[in-house]
Order: sequence, then structure tokens, then C-alpha cells
Amino acid sequence: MKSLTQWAVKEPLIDNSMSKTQTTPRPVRVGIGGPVGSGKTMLLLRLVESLNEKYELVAITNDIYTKEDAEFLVKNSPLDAGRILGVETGGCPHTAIRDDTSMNEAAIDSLTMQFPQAQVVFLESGGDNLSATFSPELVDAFIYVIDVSQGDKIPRKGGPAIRFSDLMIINKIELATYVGADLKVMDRDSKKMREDRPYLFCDLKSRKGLEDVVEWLERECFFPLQATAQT
Amino acid sequence: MNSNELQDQNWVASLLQVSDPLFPTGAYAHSMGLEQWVATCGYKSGDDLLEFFLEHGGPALARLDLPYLRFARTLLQEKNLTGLADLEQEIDAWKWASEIREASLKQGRGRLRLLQKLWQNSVVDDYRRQLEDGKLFGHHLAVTALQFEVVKVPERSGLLAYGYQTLANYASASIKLLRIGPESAQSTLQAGLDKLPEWVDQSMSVTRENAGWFAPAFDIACAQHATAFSRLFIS
Repeated sequence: MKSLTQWAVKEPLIDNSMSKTQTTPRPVRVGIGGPVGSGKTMLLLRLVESLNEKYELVAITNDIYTKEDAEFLVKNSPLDAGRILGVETGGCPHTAIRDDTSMNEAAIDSLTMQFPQAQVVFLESGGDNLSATFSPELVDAFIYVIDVSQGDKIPRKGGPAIRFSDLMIINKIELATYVGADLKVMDRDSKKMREDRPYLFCDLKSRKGLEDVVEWLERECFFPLQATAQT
Repeated sequence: MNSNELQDQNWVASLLQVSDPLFPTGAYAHSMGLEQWVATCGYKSGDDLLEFFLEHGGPALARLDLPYLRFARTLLQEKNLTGLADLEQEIDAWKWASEIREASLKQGRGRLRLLQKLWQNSVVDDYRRQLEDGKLFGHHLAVTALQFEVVKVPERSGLLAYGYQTLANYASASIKLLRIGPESAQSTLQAGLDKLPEWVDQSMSVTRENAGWFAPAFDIACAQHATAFSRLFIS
């Protein structure tokens, strides 16, 4: 029989805002959600590429059956493999980010214990439907990614993610003409649905619009980090 | 019913809270072996699910889970965490398919984490400390026993609640795994719950030496799940 010390807990069980191993403030947590294939992993890759030199980053990806997105990031991003954690959520990805976030909380605790200097946690949801939103206990802000190939009707379908995410990205705009999506329609409907909330047109693969996303993140989400740096 | 008796029923609301699927422990992502067993046996209907309850789920509760839950509560009442560590070693050994063992640990530790936030209790604190020191495991059964102690659930009610949770979790998973709808799942669950008091009664007479449930075909299926080509649940 194995000795008990071999089974010692790998992850802390306490709220990471008060972790005894953590000497820096709680990292900013940013969620990335959206339907399957909309470009969530590409956004995460581009953000990591853009911000890795400036901030201490860790990333968590959720997949239903696999850890494919985590493996993609390990292969393609400048982040060390140890800073990327794939969480297999089973068949309900929205549950893992909203109703029962225990698996993702444990993953965040695990990464922030290993990297107590982490300043930002990116958490990518598994692909889901238009009603999937993040628990405010799990993330501080969330970005919702849709894309033109799903049809230009998507923004006007509404739903809590389209209406209330902190930032909405309409991705793959370079494909709009090929899939018959009218960006003016998407712009009009997004404005109606989101009112004052921001949204951006991007083509993340070719980095079009990426600067605006990074600028928004630093201004709206990373201000505590900048305040810390100044003190 | 006098006021003292009414006062004594206060645990009911807490028991409902901790037994509800809303209580976030990650249980929704686990079928606890049912997914691969369905594939192995070609299960399709509510009758198949009931067969699973009668042939495996219920007997496993009566011979393994409920007795160990009872043993754990006794040790907690005695504040014997060293004894609980030995018991958790046995629980760990009974769960030899790694996914099932990990599911038990993750759900137990998730439950413990929330218990500590919701109820300030010195026994919970002691358990957490010993877990962090690697002296305890955090298996779901042990943490459930701890939780029942904290919210002062009578023994038999706790066993019934754990049995309900187990069968209800299978029934919930079955809606995704079998060709049955929610009403059929509820009918099957009800048929299982009709038998539950009997399984609880059986469990009460099981001694530590005789506790255990050996179902090699099911355990092999649980192990096969880890390498399944496609799956909906983590275990």
C-alpha cells in the first residue's frame, strides 16, 4: 500500500485570494467564451503572444473530451508548457464555467500555487451556445467570440453572452464576403443588443484588430496590475 | 410535534442543500463507470438502468459505500483522524480504476473546500490541515461523512441521502447515455429508491471486516473508459 505522503494534495484547498504560498495580489482572471470554432483558442494564442513579455501569464483551456486546445497552445505559443493546463469538463462546458466551477477553480489554484507570481489567468471555455456565460466568482471579465461564418444574424439572436459580455469580438471578418455575411448588419445588431458595451471586428488569425483587443484588456482589466507596478 | 422536535429538524434544509446538484462538486461531469458499462452491455432503456441498479448500484451501496460512510462517521464522532486515515486507505484501495479514484478525490476535495467556506467548524479545519499534510485523502465518502457530522444529520437519514445521490447521479447521466427521457429516468430512479431502504438496512449490519464489493467486470469497464475513443463523461 502506498504511504500517505505519496498522496499529498497537489492543489491548495483554500481560496487563492488568500493562498499562503502567494505573496502577490490575486491575478486578474479573464474568461474567453464562444461557440465551437469561433476562434477562442486563436484569441488566446494571440493574447499570449502579445502579452507574454509584459506580464506573468498562465492559461487554462476547457475541452469536453480532450485536451486538444491546451496541446495546441503548448505547441504554438511562447508560454512554457507548465503554465498551460487543460481541463476536461465532460459534456457540459457551460456548467464548468458558470454553475459548477469547482474544476476550473481547482485548476486556477493549482497553477497559481505553482506560479505565485502569476498576474493574469486566461481561462478559455469549451465551445458552447449563445447562453453560456462565466460565473463572476470564476473570472473578473469575459470576452465572447463569435465569427462571421456562423451567419450575420448571430448578434441579433441576443442571449446573455452577446448582450452582457465585457467585450464581444466578431472574428474572421476576412471571410465575410465568402460566406455572405454583411458586416454592416452585424454592426447594427451588435450596437442594438449591446448598447454601450464594446465590441470589435477582428481577424485574429491575420492579427487584424488584435491591437484594439490588447488595448481594451490593458485599460479595462489590467489596471490593478499597473497600479501595483507604480507603488 | 414539540418545539424541540421542530428544532431537531433543522438539519433537513442543510441536507437538501448539500445533496442538491446545485452544490458545486463537479459531480455532473462523472458517470462513475456507467458510460463504459452502457457501451459494454449495450444498455438502451430504463429497464436496463434498473437492472444496473439492482445488480450493481444497490449492492455496491449496501456492501461498500454505505458501510464505509457509517465507519467514517463513527471515527469522526470519536475525533479519531488517525483511524480515518486508515479507513481512507481502504476506500482508496477499493477504487482501483484510476478515473473512479480520481473522481472520488476531486469531488471530495471540492466538497470540503466549500464546506469550509460555508460552515466554520473545528473538525473541518482539522481534516483540511491533515489533508494538506498528506495524512488524509479527501475521498468523497469521508468528506460526506464529515459534512453529515457538521450539519448534524441523523445516521440513517445520511445513508438514505447518500444512496439517493448515488442513484440520482446515475439517472441523470443515463439521460445522456441511454435512449430514455427524463420521465423514464425518474420512473427508474423511483424503482431504485423503492429498494433503497432495504440496501440501507443491509448496510447497517456490515462489519468492517466484511465490508467491500468486488465487481471485476464493472471495474474493468471503468478502467477501459480512460482510453475510450469517444466519451461524454470524465469517468
